[in-house]
Amino acid sequence: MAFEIEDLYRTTYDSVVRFLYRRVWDADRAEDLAQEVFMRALAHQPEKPRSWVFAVAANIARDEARAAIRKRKHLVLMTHEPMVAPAPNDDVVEGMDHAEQEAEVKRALDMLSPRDREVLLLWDAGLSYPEIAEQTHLAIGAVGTTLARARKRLVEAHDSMEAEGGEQRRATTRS
Amino acid sequence: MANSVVRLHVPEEELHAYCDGELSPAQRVEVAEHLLGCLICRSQHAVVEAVRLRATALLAIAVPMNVHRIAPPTGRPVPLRRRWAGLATAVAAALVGVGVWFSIKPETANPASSQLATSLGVSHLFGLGKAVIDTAAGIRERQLVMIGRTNGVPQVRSLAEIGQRASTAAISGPTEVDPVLTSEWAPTSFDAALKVGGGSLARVSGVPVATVRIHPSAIGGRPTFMLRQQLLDGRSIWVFEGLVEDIAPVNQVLQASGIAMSMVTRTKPDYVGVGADLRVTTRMVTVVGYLPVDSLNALVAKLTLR
Repeated sequence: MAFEIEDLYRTTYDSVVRFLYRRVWDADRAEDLAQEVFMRALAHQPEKPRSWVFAVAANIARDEARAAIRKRKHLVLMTHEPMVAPAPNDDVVEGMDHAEQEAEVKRALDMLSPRDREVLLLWDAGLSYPEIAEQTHLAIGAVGTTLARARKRLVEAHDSMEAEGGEQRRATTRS
Repeated sequence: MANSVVRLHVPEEELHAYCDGELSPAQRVEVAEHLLGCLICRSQHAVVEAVRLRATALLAIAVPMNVHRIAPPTGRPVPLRRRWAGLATAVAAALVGVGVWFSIKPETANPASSQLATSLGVSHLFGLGKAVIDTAAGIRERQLVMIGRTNGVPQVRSLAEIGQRASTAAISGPTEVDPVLTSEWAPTSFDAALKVGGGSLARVSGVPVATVRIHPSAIGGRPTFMLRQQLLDGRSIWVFEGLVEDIAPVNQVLQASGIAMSMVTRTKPDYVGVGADLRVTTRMVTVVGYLPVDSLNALVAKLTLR
């Protein structure tokens, strides 16, 4: 099958950005990395382009995470005083609601094992079980098991955070 | 899977695969038949479906805003599985009370894409004259500002005329001339528009709505709305809400006019068509006005649908 970068880009770009965003949590960075993925695809002209771009995206995201950890360590060494977040005003409160929800999802995703998280995100990016199996080197049957576990843990982790938040709010109200 | 083995119940992971549409037709029939006769598995199936929907809804929160591409690709093939997943997201969002949200970080339009208006011929579509086409072709940065409209033709001034500030704050006095207007933009009441919009209509909270216009969707979805809202000092802002496919040409006309713009894409999916023709798309909100871009972004942060 002839390699069509345009078709690939059109049908896969959004999913790749979404997939990367959930790994790096920076929209601009996710778009930059997605561009990098498609540049590599253009140069490489893979046989199975769809699986290939997600495999490369996963690798890039892993490298990015390692780099972020190194950078964070470096920054901790340099930091003498804690950073103070600016006080919110009315204009940004609505945006903050969404940011808070997203932070909760990020924390819940962070609680998953790397394998569970990867399978879940690949499925959400639109890959089929066989495609996920090929990329993660799992048996197709194991993809179902992993996905079932990942979903359950994500929901449980999020629910427990919600419950904790509710407790804290109640405690604040009482005091 | 050996047919001779009689299973008591369907394993959980197989129910996930069943819900995901990942079983072979034979396996699918087998599970479906089992579900008909097994109360325990039916109950487990409901649990699995709920977990699946919740997980999808949670992941739908964690999406980047996608505001860089003014004209998103249309006709994108959506696998059946994803269609249902999209529906599932919507249902789950309603169930868990996640509701509707906007991407939080609005961005202003890229001035370099102003020239799109000429190449796509949308100026003609919206009844704009050659002057606008010439204007759009000449824009490399946001150098021109539309200050009004005479007989349907936008009147523009260069930033040099109104001062070098890269904003339109220098324009004083009330502005009530709609930045895009053809006979297809029918005036309507807020309540009527709200009804057509299915109970939600994008607007900036706390700013009175002066006029509402409605434009039919070219692809058979919910229409595009144009709300003019009047700020305390008399200046107007316009909130356009429509399917990305419908609002893209509007954005291009607005872009060509040089008016300050800020756009957000709704994260909640929208649906066009039914059955096999069902398409998942999204709605986009564009806020425009003769205001500094930062002010416009602050207003975008106060967008509401309720």
